[in-house]
Amino acid sequence: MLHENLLKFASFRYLKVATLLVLGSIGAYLWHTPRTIPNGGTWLGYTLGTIGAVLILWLMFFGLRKRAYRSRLGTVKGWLSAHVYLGLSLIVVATLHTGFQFGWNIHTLAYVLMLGVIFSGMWGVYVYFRNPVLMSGMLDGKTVQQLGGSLREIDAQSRKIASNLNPDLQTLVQRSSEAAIVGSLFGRFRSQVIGCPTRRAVSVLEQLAKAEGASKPIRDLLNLQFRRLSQLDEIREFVKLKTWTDLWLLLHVPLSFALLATLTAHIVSVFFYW
Amino acid sequence: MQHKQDDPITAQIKSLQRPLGGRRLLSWSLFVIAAVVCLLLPVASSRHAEELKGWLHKVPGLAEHVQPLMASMEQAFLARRPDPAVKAPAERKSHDDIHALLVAGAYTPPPPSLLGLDRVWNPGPLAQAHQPWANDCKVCHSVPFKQVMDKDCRTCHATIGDHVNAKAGEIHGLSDRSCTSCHQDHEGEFGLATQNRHFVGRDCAECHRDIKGAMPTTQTENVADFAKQHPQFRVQLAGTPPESALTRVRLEPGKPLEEPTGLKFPHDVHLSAKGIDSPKGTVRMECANCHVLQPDGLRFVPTNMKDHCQSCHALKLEPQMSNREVPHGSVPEVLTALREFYAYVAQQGGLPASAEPLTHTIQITRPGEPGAVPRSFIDLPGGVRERAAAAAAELFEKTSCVVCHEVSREAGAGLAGTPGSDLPQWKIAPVQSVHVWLPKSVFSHATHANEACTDCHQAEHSQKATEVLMPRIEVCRDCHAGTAPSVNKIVSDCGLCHGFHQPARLPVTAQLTRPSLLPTDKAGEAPPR
Repeated sequence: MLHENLLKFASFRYLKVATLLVLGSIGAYLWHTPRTIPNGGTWLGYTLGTIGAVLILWLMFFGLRKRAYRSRLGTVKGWLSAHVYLGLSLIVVATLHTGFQFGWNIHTLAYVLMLGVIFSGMWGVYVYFRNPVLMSGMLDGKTVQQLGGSLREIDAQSRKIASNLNPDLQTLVQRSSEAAIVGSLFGRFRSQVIGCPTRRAVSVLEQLAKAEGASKPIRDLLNLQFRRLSQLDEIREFVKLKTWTDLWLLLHVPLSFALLATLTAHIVSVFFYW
Repeated sequence: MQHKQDDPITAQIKSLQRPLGGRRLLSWSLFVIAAVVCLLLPVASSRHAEELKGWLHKVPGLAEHVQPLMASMEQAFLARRPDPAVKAPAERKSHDDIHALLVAGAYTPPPPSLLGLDRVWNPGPLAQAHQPWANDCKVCHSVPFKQVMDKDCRTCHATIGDHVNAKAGEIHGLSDRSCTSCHQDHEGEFGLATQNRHFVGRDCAECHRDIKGAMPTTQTENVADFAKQHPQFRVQLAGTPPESALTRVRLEPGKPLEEPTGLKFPHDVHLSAKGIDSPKGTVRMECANCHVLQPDGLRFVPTNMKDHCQSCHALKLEPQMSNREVPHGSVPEVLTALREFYAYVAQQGGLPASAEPLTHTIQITRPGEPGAVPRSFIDLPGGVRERAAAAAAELFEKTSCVVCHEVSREAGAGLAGTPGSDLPQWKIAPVQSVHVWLPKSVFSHATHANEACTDCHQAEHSQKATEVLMPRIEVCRDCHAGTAPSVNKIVSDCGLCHGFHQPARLPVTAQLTRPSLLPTDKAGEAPPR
């Protein structure tokens, strides 16, 4: 299993490295008596700050390393394992670097952005473990493409039946076949699609089928559209989960870029107005 | 295949299976925004204000909004800047390599940053007194990538003076110090001097830990920390008159210090728990009856005869009279008063009409000494001179002066031209004037007001005025820890008591002085407690 390899990689090698780093930082912080109050400008402050900045650059380099398919510099799995553990250790290293001094300035902004990156990363690890298992159990062992093919078959059959019925029903079926799987960008985050034409077709056909002496074609059409709706909902649930799964990266990467710029400003400004 | 790819359902499914888009665009947008706001604009506003101003003017629609704002902010910043025309007070001109520069207006900080856009870099709260310049970074940070320089501080602190005298300033360890070596801002709202009072210790110890090694001739002992390594206090004492130099003598275990005061004052008698006789009956005296704290909270108002002694130790000139005393002044003044009084009585044939009869009697001889007071000198045989001489002898040698002073007979005539010059003469030993005992530190009695005086000063057991009632360091250590916190103790950094290479952190009036020894009405003063 890939996810086992990620956290247990090389017998938790990077967990051990990160733990050492965290314990070392905490130990140094407790042992160190700053001249005044703890702050980033003491020798320990500069040391922890340097470690933190180098870590951030190295963690961001993972984005390049994972695309460098021909690289022999360790495996991507190993890199990711180190990325996760050392990224987590940064919470401690950077917090101690601040000396718990926070304010409305770019320094704290950099810190907050860093926490944003780390927490989105933690979310990423969580969905990385949880969601693929959920998603694989969702579509009754079928792929989304297979469900798509099934939708097309239902549409063909429905059109055939409807061609012998009145034009209103033909339009209803045609609209249903054109129903968007996901309405909008935000629709991807929800499984419900408001005003879904298939749902409408099902409700209209249900009314007709309830009426006395409803014809067989009407009942067949209802069956087909009902199947269409349930398959559509399955796809929508799947897309929703996938979207939420992917979302962490949409935060993780852009926040890390904002962090890179803010971190640069933090370092430059500290020495610019020394 | 072509048919399937064009199928809307397939197309939708394919699109939904792609990862969420816009990551790259979002990433670079955030990067650029952060870089502009956090780095480029602050740098430009600081270093290229004019160019940025020109550029902002070109932005359509922005100029009319930004221009007045820019102008008003710049004006506000400049209005708060120190005025280079303000000169240092004349009396401080001696330190003047410092402010020659400033008085001449040679140094002005660079112009403020445009719109104060660099304020986003402010790493933490400034000391309270510096907060008006919180958005005008360049008033202190005048040169980029260079630590704040002394001249930046001296822009405002023109009259601060040297912290170290010129000679000491050449010592290795002091010569390379700058203001920022000790005073670091953006570390909280408390003032930088307050900050130093609590945090300067480690810097002191850098040199003073082995000051003997670095400067073998120094009289200063090695000091690392108040609790762990600090010598006994060196008390500044006066020599026996006429030796006038003050010397500093270190307290040593088992060797109580003594300092000639020229006075006899048993603290134990006055502070006796049983009380002491007074015209109002038996009273229990307290330290504060004589030792009154000055408004600075550091030292005490010098004790004097009139306010603190005379209500009991009256200088009665004629025992039949209760309301007349000789002045607590020089010997000629006292003799003249006696001589004139008995001449008046002889001429008038009795006491003056204003005389109030004695209503109570006080035995004003020293305890244990025999000799009742004669009822009166008025009826003594002989002339006025003899009566005055007898009264003087009684006053100087038995009842009054001798109680507190060292009194000796002196041959020869008195001060020429004074009525008392034909009387016998006495000499009163000079009284040591008030001086500071610990000139290299500051001790606030006010902050210790909740402690009993006798917790530190063993006055209730002191029999002689010469005893120096200074506590040893162990007494301080009962409550004061060193720089490291200790349970139920006050963390005490060097700066809590000491100034930085200054004689003392005392007001100018407390500069150590040794006034001439006056046998006049200052004779009753005792050293401060």
